[in-house]
Amino acid sequence: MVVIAAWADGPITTKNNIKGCAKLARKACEDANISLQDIGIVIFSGVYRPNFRSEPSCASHIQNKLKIRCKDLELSSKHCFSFDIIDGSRGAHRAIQTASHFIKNSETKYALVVCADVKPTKQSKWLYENHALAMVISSHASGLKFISSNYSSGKLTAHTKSTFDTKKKVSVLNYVGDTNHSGEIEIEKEFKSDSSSLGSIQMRDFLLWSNNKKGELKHTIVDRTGAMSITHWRV
Amino acid sequence: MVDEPVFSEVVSFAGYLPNKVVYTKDIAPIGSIPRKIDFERLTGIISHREIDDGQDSVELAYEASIKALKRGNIKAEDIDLIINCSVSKLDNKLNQILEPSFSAFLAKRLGAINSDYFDVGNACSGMITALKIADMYIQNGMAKNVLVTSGEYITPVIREAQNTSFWLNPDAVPSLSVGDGGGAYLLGATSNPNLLRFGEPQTLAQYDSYCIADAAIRAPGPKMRTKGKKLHQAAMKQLITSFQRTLDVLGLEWMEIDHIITHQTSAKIIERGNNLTVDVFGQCKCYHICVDETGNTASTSHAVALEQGLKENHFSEGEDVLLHSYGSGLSIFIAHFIIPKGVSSWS
Repeated sequence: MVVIAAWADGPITTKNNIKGCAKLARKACEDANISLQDIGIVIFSGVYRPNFRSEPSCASHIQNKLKIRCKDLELSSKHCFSFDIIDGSRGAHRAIQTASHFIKNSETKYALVVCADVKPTKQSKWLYENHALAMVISSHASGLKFISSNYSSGKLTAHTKSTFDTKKKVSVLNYVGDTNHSGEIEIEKEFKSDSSSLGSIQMRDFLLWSNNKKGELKHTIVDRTGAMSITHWRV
Repeated sequence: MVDEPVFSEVVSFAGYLPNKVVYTKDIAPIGSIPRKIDFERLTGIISHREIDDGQDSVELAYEASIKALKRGNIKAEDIDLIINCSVSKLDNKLNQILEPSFSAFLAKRLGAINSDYFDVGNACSGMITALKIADMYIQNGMAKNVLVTSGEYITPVIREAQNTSFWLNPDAVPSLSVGDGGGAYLLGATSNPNLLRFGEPQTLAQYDSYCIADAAIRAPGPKMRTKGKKLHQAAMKQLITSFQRTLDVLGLEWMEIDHIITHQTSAKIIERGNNLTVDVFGQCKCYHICVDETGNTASTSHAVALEQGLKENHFSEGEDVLLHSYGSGLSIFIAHFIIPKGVSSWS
């Protein structure tokens, strides 16, 4: 079983998105009282990246910015593994689930999960705020315990792609279809995020809501297409 | 009652190449690259494939996936989870799929109505990364039948590179080495722990700036910029240690491995890598090269090489295969699996 040992969130910019993510990650590690070199896994789970970057993983950029185990291979050297998970707003839940698998199945004790999205190009119509959330996931700490997650599919009634704006001569965002899946539910033990927000905001809102709660908690994220993830937690 | 531990196995695999053959001498004739570089001679890539009319990244992944499902005798509605690892994610108008995940579109195309789905991004190591994640979903009881797939419609970076000045942008030259392709692996649950295993995953992020792909400037579609020489030097520097650590972790003997498939970047680099390993470990039984006819198909490159090997009847049931991936980042990851039953009857 893993816990969110510490987290930090805040605004970031398109130009300095990796620097911003790294700053938040550093703060989360300080709050978790761990060294950056303790981290064995970095998972990034955003959708919208500067200039629609597709490789390498944003996680590897964050790893390099934080200088986590950045060295050549030796026979007994310890290394970090970085990759991205892309799953709309559900990415935050999916990344925590995957981090828990890696921690359970390896010697890694700490994973860094960063959820972040930024306006990809200046000319894009941007419905959200640039934001990042960094979480330290651990099997060796106290905090909000992640129990399980389950997922259901959407109907693909909406999607977002890049498209080339022939007048502006630049790739921009193109939102298509019906995205009306919003509706915030907040009852004693269950929190359903605002689906018009990005994943990092939805996760941050849950973490804030979970403060001072006790017992079993449930967090639901519904993405723009109606796909849903439900996570179960214990305090 | 104690539950038996669950592991994963490769039930089937498939690679897919579109029909259109494009020759290196046509996209990079001598004289088109500074210093009269003969790109075909430099890379050993003679040709690659490009999508047919109407195809896109999803269609490439779809073609490989239906082949893998047929070979694994699994219906689309029986898939529990689809993990896609495409780098390109382009539709046929060069738009990049962002949300929902690429695998959501593929699930719909396949009719995988009961399947969960998400995407993994780890450049050319994406497929091995996704296989590892799928393995953990199976081991942890969250899925039984997992389709790991990718469709790489990546050749638009060739067009972008051709429209730039190689004198001003020498990092655009490696873009000429890519090809389109699809790949898929079907994983299932087993009680045998030795059918699919992994080396240690590693990201040497100090090299993260050596290959970067994002949107083209003043043109639709993507562009890719690669510090080719530096990237391959960095990868080669790790090669022997990477293999040695994997042999140690998995308890394997180099000379006993039936098939070794490294990431298909260029024939010359694979040969150079093989020469390095021969000096240290001895000549392996069989290492595969298909990049001379396919180009570098990014995350699908091992699946495409496996498919080529199938066509040439290289594989027999029970033989083992080592897949060595490295992708920009710099990400290094190795998978080891046993060729499944029934391989001789696959069409």
